[in-house]
Amino acid sequence: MKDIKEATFNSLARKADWMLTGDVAKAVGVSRVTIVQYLRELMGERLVERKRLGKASMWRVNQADRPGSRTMLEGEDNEIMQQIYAEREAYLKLRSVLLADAKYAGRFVAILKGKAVDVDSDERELVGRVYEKYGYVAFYVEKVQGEKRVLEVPSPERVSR
Amino acid sequence: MIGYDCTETEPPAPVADVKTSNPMTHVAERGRAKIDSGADISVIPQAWTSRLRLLPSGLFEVASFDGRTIETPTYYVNISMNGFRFELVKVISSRRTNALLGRDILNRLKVTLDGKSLKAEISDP
Repeated sequence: MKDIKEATFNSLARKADWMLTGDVAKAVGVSRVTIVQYLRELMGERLVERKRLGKASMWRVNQADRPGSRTMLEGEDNEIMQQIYAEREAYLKLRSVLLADAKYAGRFVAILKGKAVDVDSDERELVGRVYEKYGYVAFYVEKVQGEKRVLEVPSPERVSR
Repeated sequence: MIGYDCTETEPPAPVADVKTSNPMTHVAERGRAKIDSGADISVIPQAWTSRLRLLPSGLFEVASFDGRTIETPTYYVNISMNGFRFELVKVISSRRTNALLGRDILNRLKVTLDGKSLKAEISDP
């Protein structure tokens, strides 16, 4: 698994330019479904960035965060992030079931150790209860819905050098 | 305090002094936040997430001004400013020295920006 992730990163690093998802998959020799999983992990670690072209996605090695980015998620932090990715995977596996259940659909769900441990229409109420019950732990919160939302933080800033 | 920062930003930008804290340990970090009505979500410096020992609680895909997106962890924090307190606010972090107050917080308040006089006011009518 680690080899595929490394091969994915190395393919993008060799190309040193944007690559379509399918081209990365071909270069690594795995399916699109598999490559997307690794590309998203690399994106979460800020090693890779994505650009959308209509419905297609293009990927390249992250230019802005490049210095130091390899060391950003080492040790304990990396373990915690791996846990969050695992909780997200658990959520994605559960999503169709949750969407079909009126108790969960359209509400916020907390995923901990691969299980839906609590649900609420109020996100803060939910988070407060999870912290109260389980202590200060890393867990995954998501609104149960079909489409994934992309947030915008678009303001460009001038950098003084 | 809220006002325009004329020293670190060009052109001057509205900023507020904020206190951000870990919702469980209450360890706090004080600093400046730029008022950013274009931001869907508030942002804190990565250094604060480390010092506050925040644990992630989700993943968001975030688009920047040129459409590039990254996936980044989310955290819950308590934020105080100008006598207002917001609990369990979901934020993201980035490599910056100040925070950004996005519409997730700004839309709970009345924010008046008088750019011509470089004055800003914030209230909860």
